[in-house]
Amino acid sequence: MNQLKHLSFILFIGLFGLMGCTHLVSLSTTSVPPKAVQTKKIYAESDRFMFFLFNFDNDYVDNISLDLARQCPKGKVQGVLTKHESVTYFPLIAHKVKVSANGYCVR
Amino acid sequence: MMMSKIIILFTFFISGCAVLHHVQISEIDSSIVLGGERFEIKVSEIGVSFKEATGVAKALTQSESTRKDLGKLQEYLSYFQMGPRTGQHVFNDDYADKVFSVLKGKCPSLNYSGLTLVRETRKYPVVSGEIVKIIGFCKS
Repeated sequence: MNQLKHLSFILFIGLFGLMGCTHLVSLSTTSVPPKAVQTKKIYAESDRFMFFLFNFDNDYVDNISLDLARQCPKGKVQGVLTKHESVTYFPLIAHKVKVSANGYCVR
Repeated sequence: MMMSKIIILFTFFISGCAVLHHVQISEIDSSIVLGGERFEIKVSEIGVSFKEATGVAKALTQSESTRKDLGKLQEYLSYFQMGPRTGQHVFNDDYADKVFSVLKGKCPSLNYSGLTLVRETRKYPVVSGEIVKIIGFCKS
């Protein structure tokens, strides 16, 4: 009986641990430039950790395009793939929302 | 009694949550983004949660039969408001069409780049602000 209690406790904790999963919310892309003009791949991301899902603004996404431009100061960024995802570390208590952008610097 | 008032006030305060639905970043011309002026456009509409509205009405009414009727109404409404969506229901989604004319006003030269399009919701009890926001850079 005691062993059964231990097993159910481990299963319960295990289930909560397995729920620490990632969820893809949205994805968008612009036209990818031809390989001949692609110089380097650049990446920028921004995230927010949410305790009990409290979040009062989404300003953390505002500077991603500026970050990308800074990595390609003398060119254009094309083929921008924007990914918006949410990560659950522990149901209800600990969450993170992440927005990332990949692109090609073209000169 | 005092405690319940504090809890209600606290709930109203913390419920002004911002929900992010979609982010899209456009192509970037670094000369405009690094050398231009930053601008922000926001258009919005009031969203209504009929589920929450009927829930509040149920909580306020004294009559058991009215409460039952409101429960049925809540159920019927849920039948034709199902399906994927972002945020709450609005009566008219034309507010999003204004974005381009507002953009022309913010950047008359139309020499803009590095647009970040954000679709978000500001959630309050029963109502919500359904927002479309664009951040960009303009060079005159």
